[in-house]
Amino acid sequence: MTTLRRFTCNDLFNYNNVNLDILTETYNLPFYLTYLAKWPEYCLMAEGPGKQAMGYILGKAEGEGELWHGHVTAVTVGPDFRRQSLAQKLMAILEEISEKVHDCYFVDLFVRKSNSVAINMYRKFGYIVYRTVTGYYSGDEDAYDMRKALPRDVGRKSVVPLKKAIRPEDLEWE
Amino acid sequence: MPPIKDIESFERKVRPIYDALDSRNWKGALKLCQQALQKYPENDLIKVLKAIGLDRSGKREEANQVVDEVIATTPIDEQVLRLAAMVLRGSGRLATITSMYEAAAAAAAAQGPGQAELAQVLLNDVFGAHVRESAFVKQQQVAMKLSKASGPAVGAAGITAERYGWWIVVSLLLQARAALRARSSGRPAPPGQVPAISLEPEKMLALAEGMMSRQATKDKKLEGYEAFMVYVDVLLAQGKIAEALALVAGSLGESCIRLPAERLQLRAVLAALSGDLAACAEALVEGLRLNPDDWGALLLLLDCLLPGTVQASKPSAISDGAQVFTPQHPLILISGGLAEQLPPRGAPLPADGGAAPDAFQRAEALLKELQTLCKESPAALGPGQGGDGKPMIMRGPDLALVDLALRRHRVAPSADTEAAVVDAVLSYFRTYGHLVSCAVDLRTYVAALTGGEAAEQLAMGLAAEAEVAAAAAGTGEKVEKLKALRRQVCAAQLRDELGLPRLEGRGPVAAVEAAQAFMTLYATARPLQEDLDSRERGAADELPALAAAALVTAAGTTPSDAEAVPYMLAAYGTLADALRDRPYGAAMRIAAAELAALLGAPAAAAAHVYKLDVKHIQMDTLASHLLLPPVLTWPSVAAPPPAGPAAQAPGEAAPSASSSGPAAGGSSPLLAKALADTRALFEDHSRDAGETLFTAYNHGMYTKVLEFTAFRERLAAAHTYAVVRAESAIADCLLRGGAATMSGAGAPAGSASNSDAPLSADAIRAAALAAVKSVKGEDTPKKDSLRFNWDLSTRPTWSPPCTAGPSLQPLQWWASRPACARGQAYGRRWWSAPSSAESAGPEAESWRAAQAAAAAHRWLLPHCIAGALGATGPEVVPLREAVDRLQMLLDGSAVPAASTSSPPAPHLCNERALRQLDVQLYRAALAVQEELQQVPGSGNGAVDTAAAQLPLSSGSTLSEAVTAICGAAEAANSRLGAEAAAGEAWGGVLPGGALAQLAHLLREPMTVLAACLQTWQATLKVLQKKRAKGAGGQDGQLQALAAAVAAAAEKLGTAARACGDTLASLKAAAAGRAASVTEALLHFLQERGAGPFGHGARAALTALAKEQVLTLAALAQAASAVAKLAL
Repeated sequence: MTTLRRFTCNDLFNYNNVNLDILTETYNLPFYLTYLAKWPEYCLMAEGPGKQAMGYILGKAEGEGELWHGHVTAVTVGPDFRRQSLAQKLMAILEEISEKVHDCYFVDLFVRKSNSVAINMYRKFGYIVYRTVTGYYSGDEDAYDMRKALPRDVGRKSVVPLKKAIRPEDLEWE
Repeated sequence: MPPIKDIESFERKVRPIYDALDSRNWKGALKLCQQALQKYPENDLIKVLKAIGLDRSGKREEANQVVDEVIATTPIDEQVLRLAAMVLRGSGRLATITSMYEAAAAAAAAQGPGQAELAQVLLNDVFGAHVRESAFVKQQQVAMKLSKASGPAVGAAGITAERYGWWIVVSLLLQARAALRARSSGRPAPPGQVPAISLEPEKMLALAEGMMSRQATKDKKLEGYEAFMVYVDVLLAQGKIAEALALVAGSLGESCIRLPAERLQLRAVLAALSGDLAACAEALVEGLRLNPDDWGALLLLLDCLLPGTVQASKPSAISDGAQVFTPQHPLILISGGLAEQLPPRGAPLPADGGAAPDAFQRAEALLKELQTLCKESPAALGPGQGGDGKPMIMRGPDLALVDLALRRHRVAPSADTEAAVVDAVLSYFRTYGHLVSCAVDLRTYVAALTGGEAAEQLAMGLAAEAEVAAAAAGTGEKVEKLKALRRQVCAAQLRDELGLPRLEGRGPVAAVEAAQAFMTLYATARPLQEDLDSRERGAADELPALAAAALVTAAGTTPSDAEAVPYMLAAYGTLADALRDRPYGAAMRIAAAELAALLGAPAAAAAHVYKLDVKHIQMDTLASHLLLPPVLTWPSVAAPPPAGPAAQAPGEAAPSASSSGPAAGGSSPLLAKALADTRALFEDHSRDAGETLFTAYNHGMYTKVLEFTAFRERLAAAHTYAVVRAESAIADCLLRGGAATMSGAGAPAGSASNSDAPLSADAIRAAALAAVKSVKGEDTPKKDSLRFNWDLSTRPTWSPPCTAGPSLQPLQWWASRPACARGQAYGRRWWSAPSSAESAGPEAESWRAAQAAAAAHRWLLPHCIAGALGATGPEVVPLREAVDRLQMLLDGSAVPAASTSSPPAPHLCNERALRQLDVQLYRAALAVQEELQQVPGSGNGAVDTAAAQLPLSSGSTLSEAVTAICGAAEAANSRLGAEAAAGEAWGGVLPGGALAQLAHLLREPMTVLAACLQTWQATLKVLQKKRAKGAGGQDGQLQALAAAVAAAAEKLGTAARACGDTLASLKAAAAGRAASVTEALLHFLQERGAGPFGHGARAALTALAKEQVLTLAALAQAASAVAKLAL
């Protein structure tokens, strides 16, 4: 029971039932506004009955050549609305936008190595652990860079896992 | 800037500076700059890099000096300008950035065709500079220049002429919007936002439409989605709905809106706006067959099929009086509220009233069709709709059937229609009772059932369903058991929403029993979720918060505040036990924070809030009403806890305040941090908003330009911002450390930093004189210009939004405890829905009015304090005017008058009474000052003979004010004594009402009064000496005034000392039994059937009791500081 619509600035005033969840990061304003100013099509809010925020996804398209890809910056579902496949729906839409609007080769995301719930969820959605980024998060926690190939990557080159971990400063973007 | 001969060697010098700055090595960067400047003394780039280094290392003034030197030479190098702009922006010098780029662009243009490209790029930056300053007219002029200068291809700044054309359109729309806002508010638009020669906003909209239409006709296309949506919005703003519909349905719509479903929705809602409800319904059904779960579409469908059942937040009517309804959909009003500035356009109701029986039947049939579709063929519904992986749970059509039942009941209520609502709710529960969202989904429907019988029936039905499920799962898998538990939890939540079991008027026992029932059920969750990550939501996490609410309800039923305390502590303990397992349960943390705030434990309250990692925008939406009240009400020397997962919650560590004793004057790091963080949110955004706005222009995100502009205005007008500015200024005046740790310039020098020094009238006067600069009289907040961003839906049911402003929130709760402490039926509270702080209902309306008046009162206080202490200056509102304005706020506000009946115990002051005390105090100060000025000898040689006939005597005014203030303190003091005696039975923890009253009086009116008396005594002494010398004798009036002031000081000193004595003895008694307080409490509670309590409760209760003792100690010190100041 979801109205999917573009994320707006005013949602920042009403998203607490999602963001009070400790696994959901509250970013500073320039962060959200930069995403909205550059990739509004990638920023979507799922709204439930009574205009309750149920969850949202923020993403972008970046990279060059065969590394042109969609990136999931944040996807989160409020604790009240979990176990209804809402995250899957949000991810599917981001993938659809990456494929049909931006013609990307793959979609990727970063996740805390300790967040096994999320990692398993992404696995179910078809993502694989492409590589480890050491000390990516504050508090020195490692990240998994997970990827899912899109139809444009015919040879599925983007999802051949790297054996060696890399450091945050060696990331191609950010 | 002389040209560089050897680029490579220059690079070798400059590169390490960038590296040092990147790695935040400011000192190293500055050193490298110094070295580089020796070789290249005139180089602008190195100079501005140095300025960046200076700025980052806190030497803002020096940094600006360097930048000023550089821009005086009119540099045209992009990088130099960019870095200079960074420094200027950090210092808020937006106008200088603009003139810098204007000069650079002009200089580059003057250099001829060779620099034409650079000139174009710099002109682009001039546009950006105007965007930063919200100079809509000038930005339009620059956009026109840019558009003319650039050809069809991508220009020097990477932008096409077409996009520049849209910059013109958007600049025009911003002017139209500003003009519309000015018209509706009656205040002129800010300078630079509307053309000098006034142009009707309608004309500007028409102009913008003309430009867009020319663009579309010329190229047969539009730039994309953003351009298209702005076009639609402008048409809507002009009421041209048919044109908008044609545009969407036509080829332009097809090419610009790539997602067919979105286009269909837009078509539907435009059809509804045009009054063609049938066409709207048809389009919606077409969309819903592909995505039956779209709740917005389902509701709009029901609105269109049954327009007579729409529940409008504000009834609207068109000119002939016929009812209309305004279709709601996120796809309209997309452009940052352009059309919001205009009266809503609605569709007229059909002749049959829009609620005919056959229309209901049709709606039901459609919903059932969609329901079947969800059940039978989820795979056909595309990706993310159940098409791949696990089927998506689609509860939309099911809940829409509940909505339909309620609409039927609303239109023609009867026992049958009510029973139908009950059945619909039960049916939904049967399907989705195991989902966490079930109770949230049903909340508003259940809240609408006011009839007692129906509610009882529903509660019974829910219980029966839940029991059946529990029995069935008894021997099954863990998953099944969890599902059954969720059903039980949901049933318990919904029963609570129904206000059952009825607790009001039944004494604490029933409420304690209800709490027990919640916790018994909660205990069954534990074995089912042993392996659950502590950061995840548990299966029954709603229950401890409900149990706590029931216990607070018990606290509402006790005859006295003192007797309420053990139940509130029981609630606190219950929450603390549950938080041990589930430390991030937000509802539990918030409830615990509220309880700690009510019981005089600010550090505990803050620790709970910080544990949830509340930050950035949440300083406005949450901290404003969860964190500010405790830190403003209670003195504390505790250090702010770390935020988020690293934070220790109270009870998990000894309270940090226990290590050091409270300081006199009471500088409060917690308060300073809360105020500074909150101010930073608003001040950073006012500085940074221009950057993301310019980014939106550059990326062609035109709807976002309008949206960001609205957002910037909303934050600048935030009520929270007004509150924290006022409270910072007051804290500065009273040397409480409001600005002590404030980042950036502007903190009044020497105000808070000397908070350890004993209070003195001179110090307060100097601090007040500095503080008024940040709360200018002409900027006093007003209801109509404030925006209310508080997320009230996060508040516990038993803690309604206070009307008195954050600094009096705990006191107001205690002063109306029986009305506040009602923990059931959250969904019936006006503030339970998202955005309720800005909703249209009468409760929200009067809450906003009261909050605005309270904020204005606080805003004027620094002026009153400065004025009362004799400080004058261009920024100080004259005392007479300030007092008159305080009185007007009081007269005009809807704050209820103080109760005139005499209750058995001394009554707590309400907000009105306390604000009245301020008025009395400052009126008395004014009277004394005026009398002093008229006393011969005070001026430059006034005539003695006139003095004898002066009828003016301020003595009585002063005496009345002192009596009132001391009376309020004495009342609180004696009440405190009685409460302490009653509290012996459970370890002596005190209620927060009388304490909060004392805290307020000691911190504000008593301190200011004492400072005034000190000043007047000094003045009188000088005058008496003068007169004794000059006239050879004492003047009677002077003597009388001196006597009145002395008597006042005596009275105030005595009252303060009495308070200090009581507080000190209470503190001593509490410290003596610190070890046994928790045991006494638990024993008391167990006797009344509450508990059992675990380690979490014990630790948290002990910490809370300890912190209350610290608060008592701090208040005792504050009292002795007042006494010292007065005598």
